[in-house]
Order: sequence, then structure tokens, then C-alpha cells
Amino acid sequence: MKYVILILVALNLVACGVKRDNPLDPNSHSEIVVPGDVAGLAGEAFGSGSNPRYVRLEWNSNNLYNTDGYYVYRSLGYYNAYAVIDTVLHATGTTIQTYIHSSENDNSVSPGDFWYKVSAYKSYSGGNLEGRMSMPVFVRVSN
Amino acid sequence: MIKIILIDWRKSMLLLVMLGLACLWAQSGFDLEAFSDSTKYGWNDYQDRSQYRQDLISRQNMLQLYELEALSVQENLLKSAVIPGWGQFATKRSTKATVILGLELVSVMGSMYFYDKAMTNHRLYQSATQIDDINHYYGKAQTPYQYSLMMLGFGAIVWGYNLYDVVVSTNEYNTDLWQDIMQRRSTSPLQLTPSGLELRF
Repeated sequence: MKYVILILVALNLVACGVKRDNPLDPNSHSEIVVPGDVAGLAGEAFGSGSNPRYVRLEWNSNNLYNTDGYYVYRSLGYYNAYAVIDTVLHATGTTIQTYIHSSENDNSVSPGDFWYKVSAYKSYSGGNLEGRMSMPVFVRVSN
Repeated sequence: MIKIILIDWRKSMLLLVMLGLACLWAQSGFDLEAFSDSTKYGWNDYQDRSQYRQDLISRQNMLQLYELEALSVQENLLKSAVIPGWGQFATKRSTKATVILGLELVSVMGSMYFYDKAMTNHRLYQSATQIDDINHYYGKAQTPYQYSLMMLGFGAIVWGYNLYDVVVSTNEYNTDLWQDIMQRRSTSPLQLTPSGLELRF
């Protein structure tokens, strides 16, 4: 009897699993390539007084094979929730990718402390598959 | 025409002779003394025979009572197949029935709970676009899904055991019932018979 129970439990465990039916899941779709990790992220704030303020972010270019663009995130604290502030297309022929977050386009670029992260994405018919986020960088926008 | 009648007459005679021989053989094989021996059933006199008859009638009454009160294995099997433990309740095995019903309810409800949890995480997995989220939600869906299957498997085992047990319980109940009827018959002055109530002095 106990062998029957063990066999039934084992069959249960190995026979079935939740379907991997996400079209962006690389485990079930061999053609899906996971975007590379973003490295070398650095940020610096410019502008003060009545001049427009902007934050300049730079990071190392990913391989075009696994990256079509980048998501730029920002938060008010290291451990706070990060929100996407913009999407940047991958610039070919350069080893450094650049993004400028300016108060001319976004009035949230105001004096204060901010944390930025960047992640790469690759476009597929099922949507954009996003890779891992970079480590956050701290940027202080002065008055 | 005469020839045909002659042949028929000969056949009839042959049949009569064979019939007569068969009767003689049967008579020689029949033991008249053994047939008329009134002590062969253990009756020494008419009182013994009367007592035996009373006993036979009493047993027939008990059998009729048994047939009225006995439980059908098929009916109990169907009951327990529909609601596990129902058949055991009918056989007065309330503790066992409660345990079986409880285990079945726990396993089925547990299975549904984990399945629901798995599907919630599976929907998050399906809508995820970030590689870490995809792996994270898939893992969170897979574990409760396996728990759900395990509990369902356990429920199936309990259900199977419940079917086996109801057959055994019903047979035991019917055996106990026969003993009980015999005991009731021997101890109680007031008897319930298929024909009505009977009071013995």
C-alpha cells in the first residue's frame, strides 16, 4: 500500500507542471534571447538656478544580438519602487550609450536626490523582453 | 400398409418392455425403510419434531428480519462514491466515516486552494515581460501547483480506500446484524417479526 502511495505521489510530481506559455519565456521558446545585463552605469546632474537642469546617464553598450533598446528607471530612494521614465533605442557603432533626462522635457527633474537604474530589452512579436536591471546610481540635482 | 402397422406395433411393444424394466430398476434402488425412518432428522418423537419446526420458523423469521435490515453493498458503494463516508455512516461507523469525509474535504479544498494560488501566479507569469519576473512567477506558480496535485492525489487515494472500506464495513455490519438479531431473539420477550409484534411468556 505504501509503495502505491509513493508511486502515485511521484507520478503527480513528475507528470504535470504549470504550462510555460509566456511567449517571452526563453525556457519554452528557443528563439528567445535574454537581453544582456547593463553594466557601467554612471550619472551626473547639471544645471542650477534658472537654467534648465538635466541628468546625464551613461552605460556600456550591450551587444546588438541581445539588445534593441533600454529602459531608464528612476526612484526617490535606493529601496523604493522604480518607475520607467523613458525608453532609449540602442545606438549602434558606439561603446557607450547615453541618455539625458532634462527638465525641459520633464518637470520632475527638479532639485533633490534620485536613484537611476537601466535595463536592456529585446523586441519580439509577443512584446519586449526585459533583461536584468543594473545596480542603481545616485544623482543629486542641486538648486 | 400392413407392413407399416406391423413395424409400429413392434416399436410400441419394445417401449413398453423398456418402461417396465425401468420401473423394476427404480423400485429396487428405492429404500423404503430409509424413506419412512422418522428418526433420521434427530427427532425421537413428535415433540422433537414440533420443537424443530418452531426453531425453523423462528430462523425463517430472523432471516426475513435480516433481509429487511441488512444493507446493500452496491447501494453503500454508490453512496460512498458520491460522498465519501456516507456508506460508512450508514453502517454506523461514524468515526471512520467522519475521518474519511474530513480527509476528503481537506484534500479537495486544499487542492483547490493551492490550484487557485498557482493560477494567480501563473497569470502574473503570463503577463510578465522581465526575465526575473518570468522566472520568479513561474516558480511561485509551480510549487503550489504541485501541492495541488499532491493533495488531489491524496484525495484520490482516500476516495479509493473509502470505496474498499465501505465494502468491508457493509459486510461486517451485515454479519454483526445477524448476530444482533439472534441475540435480540434470544433475550427480548417482545419480538419484532416480519408479521408484526410477538410477545413471549
